[in-house]
Amino acid sequence: MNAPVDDRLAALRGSARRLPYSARSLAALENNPRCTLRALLDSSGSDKAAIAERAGFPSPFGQSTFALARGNAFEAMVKANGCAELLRVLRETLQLTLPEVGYTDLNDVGGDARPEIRAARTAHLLVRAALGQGDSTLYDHPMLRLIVGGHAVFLEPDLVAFRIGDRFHVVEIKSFPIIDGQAAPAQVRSATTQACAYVIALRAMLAQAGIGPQAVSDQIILVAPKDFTNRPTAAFVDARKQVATLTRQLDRIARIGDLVALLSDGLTFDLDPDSDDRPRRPAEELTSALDQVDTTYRPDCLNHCEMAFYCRSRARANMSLDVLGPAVREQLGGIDTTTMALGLARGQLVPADDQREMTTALRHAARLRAELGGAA
Amino acid sequence: MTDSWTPNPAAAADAAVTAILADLNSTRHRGVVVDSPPGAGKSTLVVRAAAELTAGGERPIIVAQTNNQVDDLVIALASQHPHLVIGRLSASTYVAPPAVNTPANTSVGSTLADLTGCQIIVGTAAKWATVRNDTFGWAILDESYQMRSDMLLQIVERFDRGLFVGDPGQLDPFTVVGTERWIGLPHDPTQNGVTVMLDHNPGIPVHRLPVSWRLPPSAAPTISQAFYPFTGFTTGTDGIRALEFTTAPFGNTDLDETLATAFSTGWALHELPRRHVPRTDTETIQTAANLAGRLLDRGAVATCERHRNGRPLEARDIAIGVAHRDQADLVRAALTRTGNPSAHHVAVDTANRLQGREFEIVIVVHPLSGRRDATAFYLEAGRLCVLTSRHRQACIVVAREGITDLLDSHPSTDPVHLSVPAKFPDGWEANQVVLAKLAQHRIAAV
Amino acid sequence: MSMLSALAHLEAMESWQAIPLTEFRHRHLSARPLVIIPLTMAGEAGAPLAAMVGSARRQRTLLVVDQPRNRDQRFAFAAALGQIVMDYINSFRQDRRGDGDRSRYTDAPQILVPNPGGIKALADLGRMCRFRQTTGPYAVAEVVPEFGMWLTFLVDAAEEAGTSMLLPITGMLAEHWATGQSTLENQNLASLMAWIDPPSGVSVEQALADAENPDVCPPAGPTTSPQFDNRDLAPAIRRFDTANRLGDPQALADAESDLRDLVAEQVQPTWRMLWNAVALMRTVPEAPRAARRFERDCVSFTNYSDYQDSGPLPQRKRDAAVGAARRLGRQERALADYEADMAFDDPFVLADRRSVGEAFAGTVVEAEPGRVVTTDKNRRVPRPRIVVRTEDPLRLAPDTALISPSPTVPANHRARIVATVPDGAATLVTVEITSGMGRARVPTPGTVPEGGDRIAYLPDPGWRPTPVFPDADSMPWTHTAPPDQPDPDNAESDDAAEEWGHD
Repeated sequence: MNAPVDDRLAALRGSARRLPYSARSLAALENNPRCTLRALLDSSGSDKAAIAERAGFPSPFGQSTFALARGNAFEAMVKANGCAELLRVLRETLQLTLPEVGYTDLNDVGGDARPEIRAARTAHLLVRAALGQGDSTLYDHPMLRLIVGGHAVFLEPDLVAFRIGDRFHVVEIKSFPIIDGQAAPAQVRSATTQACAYVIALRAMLAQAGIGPQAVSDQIILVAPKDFTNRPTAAFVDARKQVATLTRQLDRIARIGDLVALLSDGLTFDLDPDSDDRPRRPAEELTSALDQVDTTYRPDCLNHCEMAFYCRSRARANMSLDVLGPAVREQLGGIDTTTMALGLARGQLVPADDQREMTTALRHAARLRAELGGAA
Repeated sequence: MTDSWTPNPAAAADAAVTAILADLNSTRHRGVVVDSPPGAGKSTLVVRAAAELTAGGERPIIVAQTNNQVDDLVIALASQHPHLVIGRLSASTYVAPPAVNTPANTSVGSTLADLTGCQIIVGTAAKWATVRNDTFGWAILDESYQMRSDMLLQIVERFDRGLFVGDPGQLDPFTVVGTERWIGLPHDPTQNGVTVMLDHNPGIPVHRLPVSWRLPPSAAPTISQAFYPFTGFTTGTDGIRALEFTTAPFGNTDLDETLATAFSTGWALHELPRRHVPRTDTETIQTAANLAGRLLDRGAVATCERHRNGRPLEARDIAIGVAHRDQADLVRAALTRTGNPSAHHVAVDTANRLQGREFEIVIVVHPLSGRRDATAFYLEAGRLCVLTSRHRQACIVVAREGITDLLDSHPSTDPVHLSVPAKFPDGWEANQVVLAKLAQHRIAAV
Repeated sequence: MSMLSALAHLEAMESWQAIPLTEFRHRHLSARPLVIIPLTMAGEAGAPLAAMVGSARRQRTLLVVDQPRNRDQRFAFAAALGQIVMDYINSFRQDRRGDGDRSRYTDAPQILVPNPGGIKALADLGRMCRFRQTTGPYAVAEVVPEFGMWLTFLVDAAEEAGTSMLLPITGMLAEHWATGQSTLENQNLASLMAWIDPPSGVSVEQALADAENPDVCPPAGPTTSPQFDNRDLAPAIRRFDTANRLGDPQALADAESDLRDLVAEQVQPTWRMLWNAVALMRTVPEAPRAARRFERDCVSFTNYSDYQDSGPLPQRKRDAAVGAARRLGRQERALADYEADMAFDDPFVLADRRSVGEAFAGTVVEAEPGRVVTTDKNRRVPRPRIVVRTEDPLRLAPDTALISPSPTVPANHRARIVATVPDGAATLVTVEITSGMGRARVPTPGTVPEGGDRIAYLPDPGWRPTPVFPDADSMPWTHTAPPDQPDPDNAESDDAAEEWGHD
């Protein structure tokens, strides 16, 4: 990505430290690639939670200590004793033949836990493995680098890269259960989003060493508790489509320059923090800056994005049909607001040429409601 | 992966049919599957296989999915095999059209007892499901990829061995109720019967008919790449398809430009201005109807291997394909507004109901036109496959500008399931392939 | 979503209050429903934290699991909750009517939970309990597997449209009222109630903000808010664990009591709100056919109850081939029947269908009451025809079978569309009446609409024969797994691997 765009994005972010893309921002990308505000905030590395809070709309996301503890405990149990449980599960549940297992922990490199160092060491070892050298099968905490929008993102490894035959498999360890062979699709999806990012990063890294993409399998292995026990079980997830989609969406990020070019000069989301890191930027000023950027609000944003409450309040203030969601939107075609729709339905507004048939349908529906005794 | 032309398509097709019939005759497998891309000679195969089985001493039954399909098969069998008596097993409320009743060697009845003299009995799956006891050595299941697994389960005890013929690229069966609890099960009742049968019987041979006799050379590579990405097929025509107008236009409208492009290249994208509109948008629908009307007004002659000296195009040679029933109703109304006296003979239907049918020219209202979101129904590959693979000469797509952007920014919120192979062709990818082709033949509407 | 429903949502959004979508309540509402509000612990399925349960507003029991990771406590909770639920269910296994095959209980239980998450929590609990053994090294109380099977039965019934034995109250409310917010937000009971019945003295906007603020409105569960977990619950559970470890009975009693109070505070607001919602739903008149459908619930309840009396097996983990196919057929039929019932009973729903062209209403402009045809069995039967002029955007094809909810014709009136012809902005529909005219050759007076009558028609869902599948012990080759595939139902239950200690 080129320098002027980078500079502009840095200006948008202001003085705060750059937040790299995370699992959550990748999920937000997947769920709403179209939203300009999200794209700008994530590409500039802005802290969406802090911005939303300062604007008066704190986001409700947070992690329960129980979930964290459970996740850590389960992962530790699966990886204990050189990944004994993990291997058992891979052999029994997935019927993978693993004659010899060598285990390498890439967690830190002789005490130096900096991401760049770990990523370099990971690259070194995994490329060697791909070329048939080295005797490890399991690579724990492999740190991979993914270039997103011209910046390096270090993908935090809560998983394992596992080499069988001549391919790497990405293994995600999660603590939501697999009950009778099924798991909650939404949870599986967010687990596999991270794993897909890994597949992409791993392929990119191996490609630099001249190794083709088939060296990384697009069948992700999900390890999770079996039913209501604490023993793990495993299942394959066919990630071909998700990898292709995420690749496309990551490529779109490179086109952020087009969006940046449309911004007014001097636009920034800087919170202007004081020495105790408390924001000083007046809330109204911040919201008027945010208001200058297009959003694509959908109710589903409430599940994924820290800005959702802000965007929803903006949509409500505009009486936008986005508040009601896609099902209602779809009925009303090009009409954008409740005010417009009701005005046409009641005969108070004259329809433009391209609104005529929508209006006929609305008026018919209004007549039907009037027949029922409901006001229109 | 696929060539646009093989040296001898007829030989390739014959070889495939020979292999299929050989499997019918061998006793190694309980079933045979034949994947048949659009226009690959599926009905010909069904008729031939039925006759072969009969000649070998069998009394096969044929299971189709709709009454129209049953009628067409009965008529084809009766006319091509006058020495065989063909039975039509029907609901008691069914009224046979004359083409089914008239031949001397057909018989219509609502119980098997009425059809004891018949060598081949044809009926819908739903009707066969009401038969309790009789069993037959062989069943030929036509359009079997459109038959749901729970329906197969209701009829499978009627036959020992099955020839499953169908097109895996067209529309899947569906249900409106929630299906979560069955996803991943090999016997998922909402899956099509062929997939379920193969999941339980991995050794069953799967053949492919390699040639489309319907699609012109301009269409076969695109349809093959978009909707049959792993298997593919080639065109069987040798470039003899052609369309010509019988009159010159006076006052050249954008409709004429679109028709001219379609005539010369086999494709056209008639692109309306970008707008978010409901699927019932009058302008889009009237445009589709007007294209048909203009075509009829100007008159055209189609040349092909069946009519080497050309044949004037009639209204029934044209179809307008849509995604949804309400669109079909509106298109029919729009056709009467074109003022052309034969416009009402133009076939208008949804993709679901156009499956298995064939026309010279097909006008398609693109499922994604004017939409804000590409939901699963409108993105489904099978739908677009049916709509763009019905034609022998040309396919004209009517759409508002904006589909490219819609696809480009499409959120991926599909649920992800464990232990379930991803379904291909992917609707998004398939749409991209078709759009890329159409972009080369785009006319901006005024 | 039809244009009519969309309009209702628009009006709600504009007027900041909920707008009725239906005239009737299309679900049975028991005189004595059992409300269960389950809470689960984050990060783990089958780790119940608490449940508040009772069949009247003032008759509630709070069950709390002090250490949700502890297997024994988990099943003690299941036993306690199970006893309450089974007592409730058994109270409906008293009054039976009818003879032989037609004998059935006169009433059926109804369990209400706050939201769809509550149903999932009961589903998980049912799965966790129904395979347990009551003897052996990991024995659980007698009531536990029975409870598990009944929960699973109810959750399966809830998947079928139109049933009323297990319902989320948010679903019931949203079926009747349109709000100015999205379906997703409607799953928050407090948000939904803010639109329908905001707390007095509070604006709807404020009530909505409160509804999403877990410190003001604790979530209705089953998940608790992370802030509550981290700030309040985790320390309370730690205190309990510590007191337990130290063996200090006073500290233990205090810790238990504190935990109970904490959880009670979380659940009570939802409890109150849920019963308010029940009271609200009672003010909405019940649709006539809801009562009829409830009778089917009674039959289903009776059948399962009888099965339970005769040495029951727990429901399979995953459906087998025939079971799956049967269930699919049942659910499809139930949905079609439910949608037709609602349109038949409720003018709002009928109007909804009319706005999408799947029903029509209008005036009879022509009538041919004396029309008679000869059937192919040479009988002369009355087949009167009428022409209805309607302004609805009709999309039904000729030959569609019709039924009519209009009071001017009897309930068994049946007809079919012969043809539709545009007439300016309206449509003229020719309708042939095929049944409901009595048995004579001449229609009974009053069974055929006359010129000037208003009449409405909707499609007849029709009667589908029950599908016949192969016997379970002679499964056909197309649906029989190759011998090397594992069957999840035959796998051993791994009772030992249930605990790994408190976190």
